[in-house]
Amino acid sequence: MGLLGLSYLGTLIVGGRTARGLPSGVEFLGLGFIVGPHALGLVQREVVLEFEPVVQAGLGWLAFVVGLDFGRVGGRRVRNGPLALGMTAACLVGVIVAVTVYLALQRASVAALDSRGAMLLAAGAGAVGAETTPLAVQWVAARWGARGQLTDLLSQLASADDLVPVAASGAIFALAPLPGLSVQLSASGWFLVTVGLGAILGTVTALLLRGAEGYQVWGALVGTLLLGVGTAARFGLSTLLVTFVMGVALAAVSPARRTLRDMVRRTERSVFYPLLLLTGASIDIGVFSTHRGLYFVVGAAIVARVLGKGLSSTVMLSVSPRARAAGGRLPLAMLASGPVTVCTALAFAIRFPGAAGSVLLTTAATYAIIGELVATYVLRRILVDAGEIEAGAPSVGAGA
Amino acid sequence: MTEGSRRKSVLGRAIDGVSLGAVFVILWAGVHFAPGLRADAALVGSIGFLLLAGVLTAQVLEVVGLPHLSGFLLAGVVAGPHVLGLIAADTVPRLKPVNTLALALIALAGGAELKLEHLRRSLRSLVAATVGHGVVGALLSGLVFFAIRPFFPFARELSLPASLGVALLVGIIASARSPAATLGVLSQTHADGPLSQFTLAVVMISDVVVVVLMSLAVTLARPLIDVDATIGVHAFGALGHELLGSVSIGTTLGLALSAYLKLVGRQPVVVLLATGFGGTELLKYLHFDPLLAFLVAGFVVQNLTHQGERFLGAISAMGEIVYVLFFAIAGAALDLGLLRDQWPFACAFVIWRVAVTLGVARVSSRLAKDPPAVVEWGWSGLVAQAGLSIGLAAIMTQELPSLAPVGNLMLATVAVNQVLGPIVFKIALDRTKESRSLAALEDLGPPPVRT
Repeated sequence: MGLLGLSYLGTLIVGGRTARGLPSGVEFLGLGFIVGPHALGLVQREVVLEFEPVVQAGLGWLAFVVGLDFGRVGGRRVRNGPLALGMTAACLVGVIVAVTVYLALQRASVAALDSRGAMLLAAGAGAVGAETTPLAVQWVAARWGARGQLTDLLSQLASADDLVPVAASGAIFALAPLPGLSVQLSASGWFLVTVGLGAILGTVTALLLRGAEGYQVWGALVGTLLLGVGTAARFGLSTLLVTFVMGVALAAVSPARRTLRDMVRRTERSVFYPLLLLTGASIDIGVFSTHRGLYFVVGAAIVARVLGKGLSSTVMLSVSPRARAAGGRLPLAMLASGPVTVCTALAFAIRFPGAAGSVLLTTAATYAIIGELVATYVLRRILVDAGEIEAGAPSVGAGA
Repeated sequence: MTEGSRRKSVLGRAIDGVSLGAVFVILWAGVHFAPGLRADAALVGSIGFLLLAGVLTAQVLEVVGLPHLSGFLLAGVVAGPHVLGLIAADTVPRLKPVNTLALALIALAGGAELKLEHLRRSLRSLVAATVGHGVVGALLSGLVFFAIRPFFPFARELSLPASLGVALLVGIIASARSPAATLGVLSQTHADGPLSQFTLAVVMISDVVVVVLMSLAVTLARPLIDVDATIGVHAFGALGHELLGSVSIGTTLGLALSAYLKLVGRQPVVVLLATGFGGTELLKYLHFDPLLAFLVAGFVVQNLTHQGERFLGAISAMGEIVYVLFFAIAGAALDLGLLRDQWPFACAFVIWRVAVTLGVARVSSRLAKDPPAVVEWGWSGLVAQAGLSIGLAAIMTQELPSLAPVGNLMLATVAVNQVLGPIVFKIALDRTKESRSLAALEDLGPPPVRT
């Protein structure tokens, strides 16, 4: 009830408007942490655990929404160049963060993490740190009325990289299937199962939606989604990848894709804010007091992400003439984090509870805060200098 | 039939069938290859499956003219613990929150569907039907149980007063109807006319009447069945407190909901979710009857404010999905083992109950000078039983544990009525041409995805 109440208040205050609230929704994350078991204790740990099925469903829904809209910005298809560039940049950042975190863990020698846990944490940190949220660009654009080629390009690059953390989660989860399964497959086999399940469910949904109306539309959408989430979670596979692929497949096959996008996009924030609250309540900083080396690991992850964004931005600047208008501040603008970062961390924390999951959640929250403090401001300055926001333009406030 | 599904070709139906098969295979693979793992995941998957399989089965069964509710039920029965076992027995009770929400929405919608103007217009008819089915029907059903009790193994040993007490309780449970089934069938068929209006009003009113009668009957039957028990005045005081309190809270809730819709109006789904879950728990904690309170709240919004249509629109936005889950879960929860053991008695009782309902309906309709459609088919919407009857049987066995075999018989009877009732009611609506989906479908354009 508290969760419903808080999310209601959040949606009432922020509404569906792009420019209200903060782009990453970090205020909800903070609120969740404050009321959670590790701060005020108004929400107990058992309550947070009890919500796990809801969280799984919520994560799946958000990944589905992202998948349904993947490769599109504002209803227009992202061209192959920015798509490839965005994904390459995210891969680069992810690899740099993963390698750095692994090396940091070797140095810090955290007793709570064995070699498998260290590998998982490193890979997870890479996946969590890879993306740049397009919400930050949309937020700045809506708030200050930014419009132009650079705004479009940044939005496209940020949208294109969503695939990387989701696919990475699929690959990492496939490497560690749940014990006790009565079928054994290789990691690539499990990865293919994950993708295949999403593709089948997306196609089934598209078939069911032919001529569907009323409750049949929502029944088909929610039903296939929950079935996909439940089945993936049962095998320990990535629910994010299953539902993301489901969204992509549905958008590819269904002639009603535009209507569906409009339908589900309206639900995005209503699902995201409660998830952020629960994520905040799930952050366990207690693990840092018992294993102080983890501070070093989180610090290394943050530095590595900044360096990774620097390197990937260099690639962008050298490859894309349009990106050059952003200049040397581009890496800072690309630090923006949002739903995909937080959801990936939460998915890892649910799948691998313990020190690795807690560190990933804390890292994701830190990414979001840094992105909020740095990226939004820098983005605005870049767009002002590029002439896509009028200097001294007042905040629109209500936004688009 | 819905417009879109009516246009489906043989190929379209085949695709639905194949999709249904794919859905079953995916759930089967989860159950077979990951047995006993991740109970939460099983729960999420089960909800998704029931929703999907319910929708698909309903579409497949539509070919033979069966109502959607039958499809939802069948999907649950087939996947449930007694047939394929895809939904585990321990998962079914964990789906209870969905039922809590469903019952709250059904009661709110039921209350909001009762329009004062219509109630005033057909007051004579409703009084006749309510008294007829609630009192005469209950007594007749109870009398029959009393007369044929030697055939029931568990009833042979009962003393005369105890038999009378049991007969009273059986009669009350037999007179319970199913608002969920009524609203579900009406929601599918978009029916409007004398029969649908009459049925809706009678079912909703009888809901309240039966809850009151059951409380009275338990109080009266207890000393007949248990020689050590006595009738206490405090029991009637508690009943009065429960009823008046529920009506008061329902009125307040209705006014609050109406004020919210008028002044804020945003996120009605979240508000309804909070009302359904939170309101039910709070009312139970305060020992009020959630069903009655929500029914009154819906009635108040519809008749004392100007927000009725908006309110109904908000409920129907999520109500239909909830009906699918409610009936699919009911199907999964159907105790087929119990039905197998009790089927001769259950079938005999079902036949008698239908006969009593038909007879009482004909007599009360003639006395009230109802329209011909109601005289002929007024009984059809009163056959279905579902959550309320199950709840009443549970109350009976909880209050009087020695009556567990009677409770089982009632549950088996409800199982049959749950399947039979919606079919009979839909046939009646089709025959009386009140089903809008059967009329004027000639000039429809291509079916888009609609929400």
